[in-house]
Amino acid sequence: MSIRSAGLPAAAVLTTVALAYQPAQAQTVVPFDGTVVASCVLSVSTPGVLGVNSSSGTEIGSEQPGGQAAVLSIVATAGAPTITFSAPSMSTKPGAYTRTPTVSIRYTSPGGANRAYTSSSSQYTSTNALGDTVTLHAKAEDSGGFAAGTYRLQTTATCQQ
Amino acid sequence: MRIGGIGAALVLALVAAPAAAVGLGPLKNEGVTASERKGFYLTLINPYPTQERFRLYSVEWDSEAPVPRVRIPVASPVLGPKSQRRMLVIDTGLAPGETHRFRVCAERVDPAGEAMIHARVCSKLTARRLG
Repeated sequence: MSIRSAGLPAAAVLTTVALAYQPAQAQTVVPFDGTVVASCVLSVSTPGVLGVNSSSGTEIGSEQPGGQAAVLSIVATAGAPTITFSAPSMSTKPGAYTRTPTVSIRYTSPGGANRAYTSSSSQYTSTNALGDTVTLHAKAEDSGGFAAGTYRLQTTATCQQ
Repeated sequence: MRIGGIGAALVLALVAAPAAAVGLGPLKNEGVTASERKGFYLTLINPYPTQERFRLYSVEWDSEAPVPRVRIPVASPVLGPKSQRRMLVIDTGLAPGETHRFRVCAERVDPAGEAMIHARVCSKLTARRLG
């Protein structure tokens, strides 16, 4: 059937056809689904540097001249995780140094961490659910002094719930 | 040679280690199985702008002792820059009615040596076999 042959104005027919094909529901929901799981990203944004106590020679540490604190960034989703620091150790030392120093760390953060120097393992849970930034210092003490060479003090930071 | 005094700063080589980073989720998960195996998926995250190799390994819930019955088919994956990847973890040898708790930890493989902070993230997993 042609439009003209039905005796109806073309515009009126087009309007009728358009209404006939209009969907029953004018709104359409476009879904975006997703799941947030608890995760943690740890980043050492600034590695630590050890300096030497030049007046006594019995301490190397990040708070000595030339030293620098390490900075650990924590980004968390779905709840503040707990950060555990292992008992620190001297992981690198020159062969000429055979003594056993006292190694300790201390750390602070805007999220509530405030630990004085300790040689034991320790942990804290940030008051900021989305993450935190921990500033960490390390030192090694030995009344007998240190041999010349390369040293590294180390702790393992574990993020978990 | 022992060092001391002013000269100490001149002869001691100091370490500026490379930074470390890693991401993992979920941090906790549990599941039930009717068989002696239970699988979990973890998402490993590479925060670096470069391709990096990571290491996944299982340890006891409250110690660093390895858990050989937990298998990780791809335990040393390489991830592209700023990417993430689903990793399969399979707990095996579950006895009827047994509940097995363990952790799976992830860390970056650092061939150049480790930083002052050795960063890792651990997920606590619980597998239970029906009795």
